[in-house]
Amino acid sequence: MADFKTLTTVARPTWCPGCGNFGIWNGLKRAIEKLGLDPKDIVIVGGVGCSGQIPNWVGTYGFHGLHGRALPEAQGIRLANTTLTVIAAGGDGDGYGEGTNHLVHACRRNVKITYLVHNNGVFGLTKGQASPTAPHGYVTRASPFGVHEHELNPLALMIASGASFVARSFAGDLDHLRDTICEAVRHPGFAIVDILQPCVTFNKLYTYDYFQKRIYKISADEKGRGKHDCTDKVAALTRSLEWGDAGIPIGILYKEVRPTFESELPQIKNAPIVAKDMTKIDIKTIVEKYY
Amino acid sequence: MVGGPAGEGVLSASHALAKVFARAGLHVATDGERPSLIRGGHNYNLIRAEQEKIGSKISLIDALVAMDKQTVLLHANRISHNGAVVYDGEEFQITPEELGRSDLRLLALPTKSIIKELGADPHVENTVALGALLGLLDADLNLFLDVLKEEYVKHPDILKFDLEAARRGYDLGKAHDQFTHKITTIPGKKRLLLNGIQAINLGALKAGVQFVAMYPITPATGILEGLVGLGEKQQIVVIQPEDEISVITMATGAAYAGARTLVGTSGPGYALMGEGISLAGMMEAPVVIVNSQRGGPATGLPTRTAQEDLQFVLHAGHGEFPHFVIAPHDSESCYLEIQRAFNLAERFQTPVTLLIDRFLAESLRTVDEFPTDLTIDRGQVYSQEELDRIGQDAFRRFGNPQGGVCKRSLPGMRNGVHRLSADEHDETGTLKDAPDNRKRMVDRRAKKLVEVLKELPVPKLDGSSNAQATLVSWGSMKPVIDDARKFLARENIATSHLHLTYLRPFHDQEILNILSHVTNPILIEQNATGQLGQLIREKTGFKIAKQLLKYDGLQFLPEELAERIKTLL
Repeated sequence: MADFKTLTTVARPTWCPGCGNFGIWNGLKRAIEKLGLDPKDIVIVGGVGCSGQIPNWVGTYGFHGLHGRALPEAQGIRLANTTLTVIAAGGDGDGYGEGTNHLVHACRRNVKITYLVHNNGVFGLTKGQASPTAPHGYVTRASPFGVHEHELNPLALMIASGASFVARSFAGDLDHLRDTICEAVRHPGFAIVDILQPCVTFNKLYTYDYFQKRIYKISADEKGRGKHDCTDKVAALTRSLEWGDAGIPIGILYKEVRPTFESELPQIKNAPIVAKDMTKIDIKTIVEKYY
Repeated sequence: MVGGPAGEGVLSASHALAKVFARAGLHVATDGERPSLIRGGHNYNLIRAEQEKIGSKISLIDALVAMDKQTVLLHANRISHNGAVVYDGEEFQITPEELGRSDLRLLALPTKSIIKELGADPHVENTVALGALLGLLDADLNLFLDVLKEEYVKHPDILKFDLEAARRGYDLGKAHDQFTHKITTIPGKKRLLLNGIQAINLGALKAGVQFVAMYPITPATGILEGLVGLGEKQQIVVIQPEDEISVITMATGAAYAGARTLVGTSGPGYALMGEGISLAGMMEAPVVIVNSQRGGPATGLPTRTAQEDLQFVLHAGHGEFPHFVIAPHDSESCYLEIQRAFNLAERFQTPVTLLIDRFLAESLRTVDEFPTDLTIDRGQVYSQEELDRIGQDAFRRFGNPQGGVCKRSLPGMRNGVHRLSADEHDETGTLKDAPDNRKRMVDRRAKKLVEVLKELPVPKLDGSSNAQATLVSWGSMKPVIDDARKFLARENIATSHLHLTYLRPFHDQEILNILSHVTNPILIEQNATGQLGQLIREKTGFKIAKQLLKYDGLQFLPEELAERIKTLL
């Protein structure tokens, strides 16, 4: 199947040196390698922004679409061909700003796709304006008096919206990221991984150092503070409220197996709709009803 | 005409009547008028049935089935001489004095007594009235009984009351034997009866549609509701996403993945889809969009008709990309043109908009036979065998263009793996903004508009260029103009008609050639600014000075149009 090398395209990312997106790029390729998937069966869908460009640089099928629309694009691809593994990726401006409506409804809908959010608190490609996850008072060129809005809590929003898999990882912890992405792709439903991603050029607050000092892992296997039951929705919500100096949990916050959208459609039970035989279309009995 | 308050079954009663007439072998055209509410107010539907082919409802009524008194008072002045009014005489009384005319045949039915006698539910009152009307028309009662049997197939307990109510009404109507209008069944000549949306749905099914995304909106919701139930048998995924932005971008994803994809909406939804249509143009994804127009701007006139979105649709989406715009004109052409739209979208790998309107979408008409001109053509898609011959790492999404179109691979295919960016990209599909590459890509995509024009049917003048007037129109105006021309012909006024269906790309030369040879061109549209006139002037330099524009939300009636044409001769 795919190895790390063949998943690395000839064309190379244009991100700034040291960008957290490199970690995510590598984490994603390692996850695909570990999952043993065939690149021809994967479509990576990107939003707009530095992070959204990622489909251009992974050796699978890639669809680099519109700002905020990665989720509907990805769901459309998956519903047309349910044999595909579809992974959407984009930034926090993309997913938690422009595309919030799609995110909330993708959580409800539970189409089996994976969503990686490169969360860095800023709009990188437009040069550093505050994103929905930038903290209140955060100063940028577009918010010289500090951001008046309070930051969005994406994980709490997604859990409340009915997401069946909600995780957080860190672009600076490649093993954790790879394993979390693997779990997300394996999840039978809509799976989100919010990835803490330092923007080395524009975000002087959320740096590698900031996150290294505050993150702690959660899972059933952890001892002490990190011990977490990801099937407990209330515990997941409680973890999602933790942020800042008190610590930032990474790992799978919430996981629930429930029927996917596509599993409720008998028309794609045996084969995807793209496999429909166009030579066998018969509408005679339907036309009869109009006589 | 059938009229009454909303929620009283005006629509289903008129549908039943239209079906009886179509099964009797007549040509039928219906249309209604209703405010945007669910209960109350005043709704009416016109059902016209003739021996000869017709295009539209007309203003004149020969018989009125009234469910309330308001309906009679509102429409009495348009009833023909010696025409009939059928109503429940135990619900309200009406006198010739009130109506100011004594020629009308007032058929007051003892409906409440009949219902009481039968021990039936009050809903059968419409059945009594329709039965009476059909008796008056001397129609074949069995045709009506069959329609009722089909409607209540799952409710035999209700059906027995309806059948009896129909018979009682029929006998009462039949007793009035001097009504001039009769419905005579033409043996073996039943006709298809369907509205524009239903015809689009059938055409889409025939074209093998695989993915349908739609957010509910009047007057297009029939696409969603009409296709969702057929999803399982016809292998279609039908989805109602969170908004129209999601609809069009989801559709673009599905089309990219290889599904024949349909989107339905009206103006307000189409407005939200702009960026997605632009995306489909850039990704060269074959998406078919139906815009069923209503009056705008903003939420405008949800339940009324208009042709106000032409210029908007022609320019939909930011940036420059090929986008085809087709405007069918009746149920038959809806069926045909939606199939053409699917074929063109896939063959030219670009979005196609089918532009209809409330009038065309909702008015039931008879169709003789569905056209069988088109078969499914899915355009250039690599097979797995072909890709294997090309081998590993050699596929280029935009290599080897033919007429601007490049053969595509679909996700899941071996040796066809590629990245496709909505940013400007190179032949591989990967983003690239270099100026020389940019120009090459724009030029290639633009070629599709030139190529598709070569195979679109060329517009023709119907009638003589020496006619006293040449009527110029698009979309749903055709059937109305066809009927208006017949009225004018009866007065020995010869007209010709230039009707346009393919609006982008545009047959500049052919249209200019026709217009430069006619003596008195008159533009007829359902909008306030003459949008087709603007398009013709933009593309040909020809200005049509005379215009008949209607933008009150109601479709032109043939008689009204004929009168207005006469003022411009």
